[in-house]
Amino acid sequence: MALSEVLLDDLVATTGLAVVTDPHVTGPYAHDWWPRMLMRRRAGEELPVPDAVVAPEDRDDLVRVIRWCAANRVAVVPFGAGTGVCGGATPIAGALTLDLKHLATIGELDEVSGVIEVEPGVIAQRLEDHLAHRGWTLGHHPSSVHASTIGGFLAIRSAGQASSLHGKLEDTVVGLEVVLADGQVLTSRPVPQSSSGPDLTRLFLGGEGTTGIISRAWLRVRPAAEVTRDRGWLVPDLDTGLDAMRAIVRTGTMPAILRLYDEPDTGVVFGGQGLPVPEGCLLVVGCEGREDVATFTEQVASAELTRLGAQDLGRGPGEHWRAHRHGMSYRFADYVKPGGTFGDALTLDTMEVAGLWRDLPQLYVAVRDALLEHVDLVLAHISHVYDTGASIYYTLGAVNDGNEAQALERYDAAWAAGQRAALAVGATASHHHGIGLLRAPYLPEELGPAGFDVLRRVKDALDPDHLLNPGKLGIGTTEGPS
Amino acid sequence: MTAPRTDAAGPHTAAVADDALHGSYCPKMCSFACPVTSATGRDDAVPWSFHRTVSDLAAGRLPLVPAVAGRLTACSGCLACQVPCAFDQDVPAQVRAGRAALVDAGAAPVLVADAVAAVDAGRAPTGTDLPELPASEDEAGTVIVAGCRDDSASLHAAVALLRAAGERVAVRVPEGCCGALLDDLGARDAADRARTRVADLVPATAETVVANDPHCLGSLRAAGIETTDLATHLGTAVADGRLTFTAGDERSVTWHDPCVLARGEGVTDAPRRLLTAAGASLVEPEHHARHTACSGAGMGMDQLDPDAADATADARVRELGAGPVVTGCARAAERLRARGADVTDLASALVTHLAGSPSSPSDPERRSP
Repeated sequence: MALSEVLLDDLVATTGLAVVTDPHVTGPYAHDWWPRMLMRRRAGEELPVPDAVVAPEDRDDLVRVIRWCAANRVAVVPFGAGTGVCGGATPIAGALTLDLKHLATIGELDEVSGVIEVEPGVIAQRLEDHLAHRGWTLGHHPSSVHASTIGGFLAIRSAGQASSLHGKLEDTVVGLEVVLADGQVLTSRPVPQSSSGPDLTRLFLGGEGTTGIISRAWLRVRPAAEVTRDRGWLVPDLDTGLDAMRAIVRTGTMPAILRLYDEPDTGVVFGGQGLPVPEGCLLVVGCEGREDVATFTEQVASAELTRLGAQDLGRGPGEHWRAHRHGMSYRFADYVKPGGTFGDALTLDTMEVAGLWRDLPQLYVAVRDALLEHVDLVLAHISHVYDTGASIYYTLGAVNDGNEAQALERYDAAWAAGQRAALAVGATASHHHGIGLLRAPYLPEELGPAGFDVLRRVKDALDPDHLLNPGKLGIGTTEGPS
Repeated sequence: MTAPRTDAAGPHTAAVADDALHGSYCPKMCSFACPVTSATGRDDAVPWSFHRTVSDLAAGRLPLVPAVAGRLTACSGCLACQVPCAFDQDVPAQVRAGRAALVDAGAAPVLVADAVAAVDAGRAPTGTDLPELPASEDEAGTVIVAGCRDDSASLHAAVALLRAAGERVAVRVPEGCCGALLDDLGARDAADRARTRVADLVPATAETVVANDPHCLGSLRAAGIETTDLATHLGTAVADGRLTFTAGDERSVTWHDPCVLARGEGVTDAPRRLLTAAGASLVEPEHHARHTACSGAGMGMDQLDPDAADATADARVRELGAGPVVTGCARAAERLRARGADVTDLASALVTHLAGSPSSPSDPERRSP
């Protein structure tokens, strides 16, 4: 049921905030960057816009809005930059979209502790520039760093390209402030570590706004890298590459970038530059930090790779990768737009999964083959490397010659097959893009009956009326509260 | 496929529709760079939102109504979005095209018609009187073209500098507008008329034309007048040894790079060299040179969307700090002053340090780069 004018007038009177309802103005909030939504829009569908949009100016405004929502049983959909790729910010009928971009203050940089205080609406690159000007870095460089907000990244447990060294963004969180569904403000004080009971921040990191709205974070920062040392290596096949990555990790030194391309993706990397395509798989190793540390890390990695018979391709491939590290995000538009590079109605998306080292070879093949049942092309690279395993990032594409219905059909089938294949080999179905609406059907299988029941009970306890981002994570309706 | 209907919003919009459509699927990768986005937090101020609006206008997915005009107000034309863009998107051009379509449809804000009427009456598009001009010399080799928002003091200072450099100088001001601001507002026909009038401004004897306000550069060139900016021209005079400054006690100054000069023209070093030659110690804010942040003055944003303009200027003033600021754009100076900054225009900042100037420091150290 749509929000009534009387109700919205009361929201304005209660909070003092402007509430936007004109569909001509609320149009940009109709979708985030979930490719399925873009495909539907490309097909000519008019995507539903939010009933209303409100943009709190600060935390106190946010509390007032949430309290009003609780009192009036109105659902809210948090919206940052609208760049999530799983539909986490998709509006639903009868709900208020909550634009959090005004909460964009970069607070104190505690240079003694290496901690920055930041509000959720800050675009991550803006924060990185702020830190760089002062000689620091957050070390969080996902492909969408130029576009996405810190709050959005925290809400989905994002990982950057240098996560092997700096960790996922959640690993940088030393404190968190969250507005709960009843308007209470929970603050987990910024401390380096704690054993004071369970870590409550974990209820909200990855919660995608379903358990609370993140209103502030204290994040660990590090001195900005003095140097970067990037280099390309060629290994004969993916399994050898995985062995090499694991060997490097086990030396106890950690490059910032360890990125292994499968053979098709290696072909795209070299072919895309007009270079001869070598036989084998490209492995990019990027080391960064203080000069002596980066140099030493590179020496150790190079020794391992040489020992394992990898071919040193020099700095070119590594430096090319760094210079074009955001390229895929741009190419996406070239490919997916009407009349794009591969014609009309292209199916295109990415899917990231993660597993233990022992499972990675099987995981790689299982998901790739499952996807290829439904799409024309699958590329993959292994990145985000940990002591115990790594993430595999697939790019999937299908040419549909203008048939938009077929494009969506293949999209849905590929996602279902790929996700189920990952789960079947014991992997996680989502490494850093979150769940949203896209992966909601597969979350119960990954968490198991008891796990999903715990999630549901946590939700019931924190948000008994299911007002916070209903439907996301597969909890509650996507139709809005009755 | 759902190709854009090129007739939906008229030829102006259709001309940029393909680019805008391309951009409407772009991943918003310039969001971080946009000073208006950062200052306002508004979703309609994200450059992607302009792509989307213009492509939807071109495709007939959005009507040409006043509510849509409100989605095209929060752009200052600062070009910051072009720096990281891999698509070479010209967002200001898209916004201008969208605004023009709305003007053609009678759906533009009333102040656009007011601006056209003001120019037709010989006033600036903002409705204010044009600046009082310094006296011109006969057979001038250099013509300074004043912008509609220049103040008289800056023009007098510019003339004094050029005369000190041995140039014969005339000053002209276009009748109402050079066309730039009218173009920005979407009033293309009026802008074309303005450019026709501009073509008659420059005397035949002129060897050099200098735009005092860099916003006028594009319009003057479009009118067929080869034009340079003041900082570059003064820099040449210094390099030639025709212009020297005296420097007293070193003082800290922040140069606010006007967006149109730094990103549009690539002029970032010349003003810094001039200020240094005049004894200034430069303090660089976080966003400077090609990555400068915006004063919120461009594209008529201060008229169309004062809240966004104020928020953008406030953010820039906070970044510039409390110290003295020098800039080379009348619009920027006006906006930053209005929000509390201590701003001097480039010519006025330099003229007191002219060698031999009565107001130059008492213990002069002659300087040239």
